[in-house]
Amino acid sequence: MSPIGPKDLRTRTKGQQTENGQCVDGGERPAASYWRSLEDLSRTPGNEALRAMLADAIAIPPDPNLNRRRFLAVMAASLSAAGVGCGRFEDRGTIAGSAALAEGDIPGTPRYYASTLVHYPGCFPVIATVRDGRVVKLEGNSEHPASMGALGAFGQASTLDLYDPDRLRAPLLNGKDVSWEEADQLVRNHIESSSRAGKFTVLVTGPVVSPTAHSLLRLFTSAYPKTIHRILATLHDGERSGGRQLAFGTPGAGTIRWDLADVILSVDCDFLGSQGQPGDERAFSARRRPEAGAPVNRLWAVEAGLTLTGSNADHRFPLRPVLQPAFLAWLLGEVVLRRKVGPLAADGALTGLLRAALQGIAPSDFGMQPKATAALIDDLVKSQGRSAIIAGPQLPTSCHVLVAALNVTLGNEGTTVLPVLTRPGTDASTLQEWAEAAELMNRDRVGVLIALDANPVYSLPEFDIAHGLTKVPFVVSSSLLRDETASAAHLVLPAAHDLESWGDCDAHPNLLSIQQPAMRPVSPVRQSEESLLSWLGKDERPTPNYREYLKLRWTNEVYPPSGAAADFVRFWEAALHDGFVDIKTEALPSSTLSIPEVLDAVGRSTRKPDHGFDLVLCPSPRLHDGRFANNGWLQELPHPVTTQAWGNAAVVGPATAAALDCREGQTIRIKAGGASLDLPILVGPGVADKTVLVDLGYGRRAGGSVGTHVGFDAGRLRSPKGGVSAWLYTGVRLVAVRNREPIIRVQQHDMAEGRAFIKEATAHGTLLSVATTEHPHPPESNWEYNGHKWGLVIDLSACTGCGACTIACVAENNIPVVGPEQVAKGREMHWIRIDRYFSGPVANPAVAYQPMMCQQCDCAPCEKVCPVAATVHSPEGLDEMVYNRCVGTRYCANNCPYKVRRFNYLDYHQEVKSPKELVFNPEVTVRSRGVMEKCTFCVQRIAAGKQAARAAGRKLADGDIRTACQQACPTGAIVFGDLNDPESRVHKLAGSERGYRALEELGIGPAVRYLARIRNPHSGLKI
Amino acid sequence: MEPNWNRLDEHVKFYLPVVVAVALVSILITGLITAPVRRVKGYSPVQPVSFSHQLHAGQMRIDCRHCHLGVEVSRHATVPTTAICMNCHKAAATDKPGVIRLREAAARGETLLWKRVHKLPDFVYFAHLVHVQAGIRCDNCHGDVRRMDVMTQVSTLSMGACLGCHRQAHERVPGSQANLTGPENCSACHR
Repeated sequence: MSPIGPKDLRTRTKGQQTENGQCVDGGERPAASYWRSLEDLSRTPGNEALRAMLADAIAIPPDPNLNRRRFLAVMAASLSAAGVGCGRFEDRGTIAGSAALAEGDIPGTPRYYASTLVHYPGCFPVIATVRDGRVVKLEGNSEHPASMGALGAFGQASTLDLYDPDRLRAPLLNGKDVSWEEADQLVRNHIESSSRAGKFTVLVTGPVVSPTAHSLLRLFTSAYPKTIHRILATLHDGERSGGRQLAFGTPGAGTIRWDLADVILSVDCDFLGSQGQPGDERAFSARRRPEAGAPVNRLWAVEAGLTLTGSNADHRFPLRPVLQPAFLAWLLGEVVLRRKVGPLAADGALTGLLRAALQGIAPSDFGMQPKATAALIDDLVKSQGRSAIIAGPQLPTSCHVLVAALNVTLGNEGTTVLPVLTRPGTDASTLQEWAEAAELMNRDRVGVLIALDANPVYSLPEFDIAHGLTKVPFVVSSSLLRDETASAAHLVLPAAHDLESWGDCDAHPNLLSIQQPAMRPVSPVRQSEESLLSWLGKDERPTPNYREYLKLRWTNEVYPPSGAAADFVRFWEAALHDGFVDIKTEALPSSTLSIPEVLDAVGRSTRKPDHGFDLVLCPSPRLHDGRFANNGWLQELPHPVTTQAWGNAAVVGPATAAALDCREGQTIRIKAGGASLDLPILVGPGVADKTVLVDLGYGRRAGGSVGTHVGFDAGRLRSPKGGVSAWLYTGVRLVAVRNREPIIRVQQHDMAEGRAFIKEATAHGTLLSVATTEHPHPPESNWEYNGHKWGLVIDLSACTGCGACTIACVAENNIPVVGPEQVAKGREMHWIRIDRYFSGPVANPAVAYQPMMCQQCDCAPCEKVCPVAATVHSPEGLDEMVYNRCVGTRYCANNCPYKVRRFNYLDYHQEVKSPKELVFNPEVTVRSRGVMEKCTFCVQRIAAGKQAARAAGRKLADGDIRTACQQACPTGAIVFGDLNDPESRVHKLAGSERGYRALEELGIGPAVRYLARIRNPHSGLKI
Repeated sequence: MEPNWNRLDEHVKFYLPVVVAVALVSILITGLITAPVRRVKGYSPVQPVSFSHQLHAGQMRIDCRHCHLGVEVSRHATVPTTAICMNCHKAAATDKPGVIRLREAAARGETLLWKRVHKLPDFVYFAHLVHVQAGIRCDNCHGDVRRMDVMTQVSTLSMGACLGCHRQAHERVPGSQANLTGPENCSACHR
């Protein structure tokens, strides 16, 4: 048998291709036109130049620490150690029951508590699964309208933060232990003496999403009038809300009803990724399923880098950020002047000015075909009142004024874009306010600085807070870890994790979520609000502790307007049980658009770009602003688009890389304003020309034992006055440096070898790609399933590629973190991975995501080659993996066509530092070295579901068993169930005409069905 | 073909004894490792308090589930908390040395450290609740506890013992349903 290369496949499949791999009219896109990475593409003929650019980045360096002698030494030590552990074989140790149990608490059975994660970007309502007094897993609160049971990667990973061995355990004064009482007394004394000396107390917090915490802060600032409260958020909506303030003259934000929008235009807003709110993906993807009845929406994306939003778009245009304001202004001009749509078109003075301002701007300025822009405008004008336009929070205020003008013009304001009042305390302080605070510190006018769950030293490098703190006599930091600010503080207080704290959160309109401790703290920590309360004078303290304070505020301010019939105790207990109560959020009165502001914004947006590059500082989809740097799960979760793990890089397009004469991994120096940063280059398809993107949140100097010195701190490129905005700089210079840094990208592991995994179709039913090749093997299975037959259906149209499922799987199945060196060798252990496929031209490829896990084949290739029967078939259709039988031949992984089996090359769990072992799921074996492992369809959940049904004396119902990935998926793309049950959801979905199985032609009968990805291109355009 | 007698001689004199010796040693080692005594059948360690099941479960006829709370609802039967012991021993037999130690532990909010008798390997996910609900009685695996002054392991608790019952439970468990069997696939117990 000769190997089949991509070239052969291309000749054997039907469609026709242009040179750059783009599909021509009507033809099916052949399998080989999909490429998993530039590396993959570079293996096809005609792409030798690409291969040269990537050559060095692909090679895996050998481990310099392991040579023959060291290997022999390790082996000898292991052998001698093997005999050490032998003791009396009868002895089974001791067994300690509890002294007493809470009512209804039975060891070995889970309990569930509703709570809310408030220190996470976006506020996540959760249900904590508690086993034997410790949280082992979080799920979304399925009754909470903003969550519907889903929980993204940040929320899923927070249990690891809870048991982080680096967490602070006791208050420290200048590095020495101190009691809480002494610490409190010290803080009170310092605040009072500094006030007497006429100095300020600077209080730094994150955005205060809790109305109770906000009322406590007001109490604190009134008790200590010399307090300056600064709100720190590396990433915030300040430009966006500032734009709305200018456009409408009223404060507030605009939320988008994704479910109502037929046409969506995103101008560099990654609302499906790092810039969205929980729930956005669900609402958006509900409109991506043709079976659902509602017409499939159409997403247009204009963006600088390739984001999750852009890769889920139907049409995407790469555009450097400095031209994006001009594009919006031009779009407004086209809609108002040429199509004469909306109230602005009637304003003669405005149209005249608009026409003058937009003189000479054409679609070609943005690198777009007139046909494409005509189709976009056509779409927007046709769906007036049913479209939505959104711009990224990193774009300047003028862009958001233009977006407001466009939404008003197209009749979206008030229908798909709803104004929402923002409560004071949730908006971040401006650069101006920070500059003032830094100035006060440098002039010795600050007596005390208190950082509560905030890390200004790392987050505000442009103001050199570290230097400012040396001038402050008393610095207090209340944080989980000894971060950069805590390292510079005199008094360090261990803060409680969200799952150990009380609180509430009104981030979701019309809902007040409650936060309650799901477990007793691992060490004597205290939540920051509790500290704030105890720093008030005895007479000013309304309640002895924060829990009572929360109850007090709820008694006075939440309970009476709720109109609840029950008494407060019942109301409170119901809130604790449900996790939220309904409240009435103040509605914003409708307001009119300010014409002069729109004209001003147009004027400011039509400037031509200066020479040099554009720099975008992006929120990391994994570490956000750096707060998750010490979370190994998130560090190891690959970036959804670049698939880089354990680090960040300067992402540039292939054309830019070629122009700079840089190879992937080569270091470049980014010079923005006075700052410069050296970091390796990553060649990303689809990135706009003259643009470089760097993720924030990396390069922590005191980020804990996992997060310190991983990646590069892009925040250092920020300047105190900001560029175009705090995250966007123009006129940036890039200089190639000779050094090289390894870039770890997991998508370069396991090539697709030209095989077809993806099937795509248009919303009108035209097949875009074929997922099967010719010469299929006949199905070979002899299995008959008389009882259950477990199966999974994954809707590729709903999957956005976010990676929440991977983290959920890691948390559920005790999957180890292997570290950057091991990931670089292709030894990551994730049981479910998100494969990312490109197709089309390198400059602007189409993207498809595919969650890939063990397919539980009926005629499994792995089972046939195991010499010790460690992987065998179950009567319910699972390919069972028996760890205690596995001897580690790895034949099974070799024979698996999906490459989903993972091998424990090392004993990754050996050095688990206390209390990290508490994060393990007690229902799943912690695997050791030399053992193969893979997705089990969460067999422990199947067993638990059956047991629960049996205990309740009923038959197992559809939906009783949900896999961890299914439960976490924010869009509900994954459905698990019994394929033998004709009434089950999974059975019905599996029969969908979009359904197909990956590599079905092999005849191995995978139990996972994929539903073809739906694209909804404009009828006048090709994809 | 003429047999090579020299080679045959070598085979008989050298290889045969080696093979026989290796086989014997293997059988011996296998026998030793799998002997019921290695399975700790008959293991009855000295406990910190000389608690007698014979007295509590036998003479006084206290139901197993009175103390082993989890047996019907959880994977674990659970060792009773000191609080459960103290429900009775606040008043009962307060002068016995064991009960005094129990009371002292309870006063300190501590628990007694019992020597573990029954233990399955970590990769076995045995669930008491399914077995109890299927009508398997405690004494089917744990023996006649009501006659044990000192708790003793009576079954080997080996995988063979589990499977023996899973294949034909109705023969091993007197009075069980005629068609009672347990699952025999790996992930029923190992995950």
